[in-house]
Amino acid sequence: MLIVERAYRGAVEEQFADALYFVRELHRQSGGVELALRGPAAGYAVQTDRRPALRIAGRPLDRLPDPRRSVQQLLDDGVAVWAEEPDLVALGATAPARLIPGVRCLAEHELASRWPTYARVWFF
Amino acid sequence: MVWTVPPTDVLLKVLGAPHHTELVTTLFRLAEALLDRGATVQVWTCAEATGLTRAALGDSKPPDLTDRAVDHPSTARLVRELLTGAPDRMSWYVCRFCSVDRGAAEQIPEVRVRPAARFWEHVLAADKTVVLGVC
Repeated sequence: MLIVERAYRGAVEEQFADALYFVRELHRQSGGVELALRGPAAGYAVQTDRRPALRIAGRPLDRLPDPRRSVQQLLDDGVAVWAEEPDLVALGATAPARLIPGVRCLAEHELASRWPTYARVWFF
Repeated sequence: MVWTVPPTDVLLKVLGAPHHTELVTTLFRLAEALLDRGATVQVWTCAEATGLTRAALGDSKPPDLTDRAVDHPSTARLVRELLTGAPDRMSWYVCRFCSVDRGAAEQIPEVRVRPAARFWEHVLAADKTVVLGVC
């Protein structure tokens, strides 16, 4: 179980190499991980139609982290993705309804109660 | 002739580390927006921010293992392009103490490494100082 809490850790520095990029690679190497999104990172599981663009010195940076696309890739790879419901609600009343299909909701405190079922629990 | 800090409209002083928050993205966006408006800008980096222009970064990030064909610019290259795109209006200074203290003494040639004891000259040379981040 990989738990991601901190979100948006530097689009310009990270570009393709954000935390979810390495979750995908760990899933490949380990044979299977699950991902829990909580805190600000719960927003990674919420669909949005707005993706800001960035240009520096005339250069468009079009490969910045796209966490929603990454979450979809993880789901396609077979990763079970969870999001904590209280953190989704904190993002706005409509956020839980805009969850990326396939992402599962966790009730408050449910995540910790599931820890014994995992061989390893990493804050990532 | 003794070099003096060229006056600018704005000094962006940057503390804090890359890869933690959107601090660096904000820095680039602010600098770009100021240049777009015709302003003169100087950046002074301290602490971990001195690593943004570390020479060892090279021009590109390590390759994306899922798509090796795409070139991803390093922050050092982005700073270089920012400087070469506005050579008379943009300058980038790096605190010597901080860069040496963090193993980032080797900097790209386009930036100017300055003694920490000269920092206030940069504040005085700017109409407005904006500080981003904390150590």
